[in-house]
Amino acid sequence: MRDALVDWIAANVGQRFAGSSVDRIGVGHSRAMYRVTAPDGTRLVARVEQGGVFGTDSAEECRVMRALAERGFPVAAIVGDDLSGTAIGRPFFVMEFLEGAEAADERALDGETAAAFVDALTRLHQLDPSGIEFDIQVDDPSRATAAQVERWRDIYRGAADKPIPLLEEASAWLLLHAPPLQRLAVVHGDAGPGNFVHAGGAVVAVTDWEFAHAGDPAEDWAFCLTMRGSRTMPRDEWLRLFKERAGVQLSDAEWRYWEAFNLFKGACANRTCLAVFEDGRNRAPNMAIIGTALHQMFLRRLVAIVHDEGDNR
Amino acid sequence: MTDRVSDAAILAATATVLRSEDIAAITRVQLIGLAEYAAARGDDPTAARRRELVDALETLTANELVAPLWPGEPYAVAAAALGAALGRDDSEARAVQAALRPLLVRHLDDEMATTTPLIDAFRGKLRNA
Repeated sequence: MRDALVDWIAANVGQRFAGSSVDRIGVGHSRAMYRVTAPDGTRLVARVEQGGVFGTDSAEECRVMRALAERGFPVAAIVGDDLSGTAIGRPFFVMEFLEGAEAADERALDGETAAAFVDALTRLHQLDPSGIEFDIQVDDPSRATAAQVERWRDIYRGAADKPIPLLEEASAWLLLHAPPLQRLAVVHGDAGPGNFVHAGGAVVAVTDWEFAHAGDPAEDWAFCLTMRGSRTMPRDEWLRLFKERAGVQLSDAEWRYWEAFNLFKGACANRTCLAVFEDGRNRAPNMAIIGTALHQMFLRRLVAIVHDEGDNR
Repeated sequence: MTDRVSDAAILAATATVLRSEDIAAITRVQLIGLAEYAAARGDDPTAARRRELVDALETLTANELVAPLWPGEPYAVAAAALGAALGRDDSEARAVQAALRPLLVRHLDDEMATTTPLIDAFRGKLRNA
């Protein structure tokens, strides 16, 4: 695969990459990331699909990244793509290599960098999503959250051979309690530490756009608070940053809703990993673990929210 | 397929990983964790759980949320009934929730009791290491 990747990059990006070395970087699950280093030292990053993990695809991710770059938002520039999967057996795209801080814990941040990230996320949410070719196009903001609930429900259904009643009940709860939304925003969908490159207290680029969509910015704030950023800083510190730098103030019920939404999204996405492991599209052992233990862990936390609400309202 | 990972897929993964040219350290740990899980998890309870769910649904055959759907595929019926019960505050909805929620949560908790050790392996930690 690595030889084919180098051959493709040399033919389609530049002959200077002939004879490049390739080494895997990062620990992402849905995409394999490879650093490609040309003989002259020039570096690129190849982002390769892993057989339908999480139900997302590179085509939408490429469209979103290119649209955001056109709008001046900090993303890595894409220099080439093979979305057909013919070159190396899986769809991939190639982007510029970004120099950034390397830490033992990719989710560790100092206060200055955390503030810069909150600023970047605020800027993202202020962009107009119209004209960005998301797979799911929603014109009516009041339908945006429901469309995402249905999206993730359909993704899990496509990966399971029978309904999961507790997950179906949660989807009904999320549809019933979706907070009103006045204006559509660009939502990252996996926002937080580990998914942006930073250096010197500044955000160099936001990465990992496979979950991006038009929707409610509260999804991102809650995702950072309860998922990606939960080990980075105490909750109160995140909430203070969100309030001071982005004016974000949600009610307890809204935070709870969006935590449930993100757990639902995670449970549905994780369930796809069991399917790709079982049918042989991806035999990496992390797929089996994500598709069972992590799926169940997310579902159990989700059920606790849905049931503890006693929600027959 | 069940909600469990199959022995066949674990065996195939073992062969695939061990044949690969470069195995990351964390992949090795995850494979060990998966093998230990497979050895320790015991018999597949899928059929027994399904029977328990059928028994629970049989107690609801007169319930207005279940009756139109039953008999049917039990997980699909349970999913539809629980979804329909949300947003209602009446005895029919409460009966569905009382019969199905604790059972399904217990099944989930029982399954998690066997899979939770995999979380350590996922994070690169070997048990008893």
